[in-house]
Amino acid sequence: MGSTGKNKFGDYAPAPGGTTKCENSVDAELEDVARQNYFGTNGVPPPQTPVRLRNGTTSGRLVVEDMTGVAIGNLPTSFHYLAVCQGRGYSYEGEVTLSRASKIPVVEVHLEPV
Amino acid sequence: MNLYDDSKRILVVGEVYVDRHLDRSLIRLGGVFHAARALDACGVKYSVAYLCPSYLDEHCQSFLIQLGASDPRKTGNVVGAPNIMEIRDSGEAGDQGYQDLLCDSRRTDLDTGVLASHIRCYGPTDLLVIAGAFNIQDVIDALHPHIARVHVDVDHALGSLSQIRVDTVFCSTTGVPFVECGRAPDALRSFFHAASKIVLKENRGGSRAYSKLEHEAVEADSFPVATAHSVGVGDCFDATWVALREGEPAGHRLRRSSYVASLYASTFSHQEFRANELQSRTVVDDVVTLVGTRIPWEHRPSVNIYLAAPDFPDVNTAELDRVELALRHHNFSPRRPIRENGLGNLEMTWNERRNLFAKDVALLESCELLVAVPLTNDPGTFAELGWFANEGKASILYDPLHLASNLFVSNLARRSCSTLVGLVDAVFELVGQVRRG
Repeated sequence: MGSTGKNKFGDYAPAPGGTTKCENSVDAELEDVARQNYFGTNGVPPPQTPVRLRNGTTSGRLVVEDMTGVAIGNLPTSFHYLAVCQGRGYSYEGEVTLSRASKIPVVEVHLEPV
Repeated sequence: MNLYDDSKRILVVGEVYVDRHLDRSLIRLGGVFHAARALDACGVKYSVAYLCPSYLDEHCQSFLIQLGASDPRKTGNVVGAPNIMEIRDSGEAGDQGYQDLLCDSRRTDLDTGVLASHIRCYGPTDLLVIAGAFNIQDVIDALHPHIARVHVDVDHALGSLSQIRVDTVFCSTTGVPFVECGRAPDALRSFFHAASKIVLKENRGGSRAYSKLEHEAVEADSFPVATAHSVGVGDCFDATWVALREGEPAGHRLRRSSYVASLYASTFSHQEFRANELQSRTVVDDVVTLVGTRIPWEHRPSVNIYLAAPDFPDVNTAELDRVELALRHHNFSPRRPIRENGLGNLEMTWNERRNLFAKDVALLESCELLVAVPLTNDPGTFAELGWFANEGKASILYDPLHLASNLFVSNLARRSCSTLVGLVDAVFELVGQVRRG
C-alpha cells in the first residue's frame, strides 16, 4: 500500500489565471441610498441608468454616482479593495440593474473595469 | 513620505511551523513566516532568528531569503515534535481547530549564545518575538547590552508573562492571556502592567491599543474582505505595526496594520498579497479614512441574532449547531426561538398558540440580525425571514444545502451564502452596518 501527499509548500503559487480582483466586475446593492443627493432630487434611478464609481473615497466610503457626478449610494464596505484598484489606475462604470422605491429604497448596480 | 520607517531594522524571533490546511489541501510554512511575509510586503529591513526541527533547515533558509530576510539565522532546535499545525477551519468561522502534532513531547533548545551573537551582528532597532515553547525572558536577556524596542505577541506564550517589560504586547481575543483575563479587554491593562502598550486584535471586529500614558484605549475598524484564511493574520498585523513609523498616531497605526492584515487574509498567494500591499500605499489617505467594521468584543453579547430554522426534534440540526457555535465563538448572542420559547403543536389551545406566537415575535423584534438556515423546506423559516426583511432589518440566508430555490426566499435576505466562513464575514459586515446607523 503506497501513500500520497503534498510534496511542496504552496506559498508561492501565483494568483489563479494571473489576474487580480481588480479585473473582476462588481454586482452590489448600494447602501445609504435615501441619504444621497440623487434620491433627494430624483428618487431611485431606473434600471439601465449609466453609473460609475467615484474616484477616491468620500467620508470613508466608495460612492457610486451618475455620469454627472451626483451620488446614488455607497458600495458595501467589503468592496473597499476597489480603492486600491483605483490607485492602480482602474476605473469602473456600469449601470443600475434593479431599483425599488420602497420603505428602504433599493438600488443594485453592475460595474465593470474600464 | 514613506509609510514605513526606513531606519528600522527588525529582528523576528520565534518558531517555524508547517501549517497544514486540512480544508484546503495546502501546506505552507507558518510560525515566524507569517511575520516575514508581511515585512517582505512592507519592504522593510528585517532578519529572522528562528527555531525549527532540523528537517526544515533548508526550507527555512531558502524561503526566508526569497522573502528578503537579511542573514536569517537558526537559533535553536525543536525536537520531539514535527512542528506541524493541522488546521481544520482556515477561515476561522468558529474555533480553528488547531492540532499541534505531538506538542506534549516538544522540546525547544534556544541557543542564547547564537541569538546574542546574531543580535550583535545585525544590530536590530526592534525585536518582534512571536512567543512559543521557549522562554521570552531568555530572548530579552540575549539583547543585553544592545538596546532595542521589544514587541511580543503573547497569544501562544507559556508561563507567566505579566512581569515582562516590553514596548508592545500583542494579543488577540483567541489568545491564552485573553482567556486568563476572563475575556475582559480592560483586564489586560493590569495583567500586562509592565508593558508600555497593549494591542488587542478583535478578529473581524477591529482592534484597540492601550497605552500606559493614556486612560482611554484608541480603537480602529477592521476592513471586511472575503476571508480566504485567518492563519497568521495576527502576526501579519504585529509585523506591520512594528514596521510603521514610531511617530504615527496609534489610531492610524492600528488601521494600517488592520488593512494589511485584511489583505493577508484575503489570499493564500504571497505574490498577490505583496502586490496589493504595494498598491495600497498609493491610496494611504483613503485607507486611513475608510469606514470599516468596529464591533468591540464586550459589546457583542448585546447583538442578538435570530436563528430561523426548523429546529425540530426530528430534523438533523448539526448545521444549525455549527452556526450557533461559530457565533458564540465570536461572542455574539445567537437566539434559537424553539429552544427558548418551545415548539408549537396542534394539541395546544388557541390561547397557548397565540402566546407562543407573541413570544417569537417579541424575540424577532429584539434581534438586530436574522440568519435563516433552511435545513428543510420549512415554511416557518421562510415566514420569519419575510417578516424580518419587511421590517427593514438585516438578514442573511445561510443555505449550505441549497434548498432555497424559491424566488422570494432567495431574494429577501440582504446577503446569501453557503459556507460558514461566508456567513461569519456577512454577520460582521451587516452588524457593523447596523451599528453605524
